[in-house]
Amino acid sequence: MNDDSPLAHLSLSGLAHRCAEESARFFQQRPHDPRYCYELFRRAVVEDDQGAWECIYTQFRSLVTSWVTRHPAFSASEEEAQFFVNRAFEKMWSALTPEKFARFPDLSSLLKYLQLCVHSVIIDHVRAAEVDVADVELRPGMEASDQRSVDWQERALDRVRREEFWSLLQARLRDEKEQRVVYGCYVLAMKPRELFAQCGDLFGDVREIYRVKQNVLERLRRDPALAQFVGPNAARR
Amino acid sequence: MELARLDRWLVVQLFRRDCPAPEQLGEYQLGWLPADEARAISEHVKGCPRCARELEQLAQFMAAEPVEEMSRAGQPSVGERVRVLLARLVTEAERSSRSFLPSLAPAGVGLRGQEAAPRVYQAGDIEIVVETRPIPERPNEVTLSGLVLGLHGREPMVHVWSQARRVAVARIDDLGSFEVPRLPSGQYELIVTSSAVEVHIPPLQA
Repeated sequence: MNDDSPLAHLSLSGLAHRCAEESARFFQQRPHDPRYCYELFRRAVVEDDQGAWECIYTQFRSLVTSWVTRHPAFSASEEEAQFFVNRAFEKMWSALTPEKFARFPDLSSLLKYLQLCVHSVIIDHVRAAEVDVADVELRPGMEASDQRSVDWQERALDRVRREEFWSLLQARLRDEKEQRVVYGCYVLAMKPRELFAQCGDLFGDVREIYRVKQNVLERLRRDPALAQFVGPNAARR
Repeated sequence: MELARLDRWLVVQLFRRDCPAPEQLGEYQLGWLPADEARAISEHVKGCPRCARELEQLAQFMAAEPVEEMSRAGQPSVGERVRVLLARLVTEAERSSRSFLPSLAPAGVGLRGQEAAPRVYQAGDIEIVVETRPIPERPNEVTLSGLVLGLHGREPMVHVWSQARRVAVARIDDLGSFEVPRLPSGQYELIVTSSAVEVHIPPLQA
């Protein structure tokens, strides 16, 4: 065999060895041959070779770890780097199908996608945390203790029920102001002053946004149709 | 129902329900999405501060760790690449038909007690003799030794792999000999390397 022979003839150990050697050159910014590492990815994705996935993990774990620790949102996540490293590889493993592999012509594009997976898992984590600590805008005069008594154990409805709820909710909004407030405050998770900055032509001031939101909440609270979603017997995920 | 509870419940149900998943935003950023999907995301991002912030964060992150930077050195020319060879086992018939073959096996390599017969591998002009010797006081371990002839280049080494993991590395001395002591019995692949060439030996049982 010479260096132009099909890489498919190399054993997994042989491939892992060459990938490690060429990766060392890569990290030293020396000329390197990316075919071996690319072939590892090909076997892992297209041939569903679990051994190849393990080699990829071993080979690129330190690179992925460096990406995690340098992500702008990592330090605030309060998670260990290894948590995101594992999630990133899992995400790549689940997202990269044999059909999608054809979109990646070289090792560089695969590593770029792996880097994207790092970003995705960290942002997924950040988004989940954002729901838990989302600011609940208090009506003026409402005590903070009322806010803390909220049942934090309530979780999202399943997708079908959520769509049903969204349709029901939209049908109960009376005008564009209410639609913009509900969409802006709850879907886009904007604070009222952010919403006012975006569509201030619709509202007189920020207080009007608070009033519209309060009116919607008061009306929905009395709506019997809503109880099937929010009440104690409401379907949960 | 308490107002605060309803407010909180709405947050949980509706929070970013229309926002693309982070990986979809990433594919949008990298220009990998079909045109209609990219257009839809572009429209969404215009009105969604959180997605806009995430895109900005992604752009900073990808710009700070550019894979292309590390790849800038490019690929070696064909002449600069390490030659990768697959060795084949030389059969008994071939060994006996080669008048020069006995000289490959140095005096110290041969059948002793319950040792397996040395195996001879060939890859181009390179010949490799591999022998395993049991360790009497350690019945589950062996010593792997051998001789490499015809290998050129600097830093000749033998890498021992098992189940896609490198388990040992040994230097090849100036006479071409190597030894890997105290190897657990099992199946291994040997990879003989130098600066110029790499020889992959088929799996052998030690």
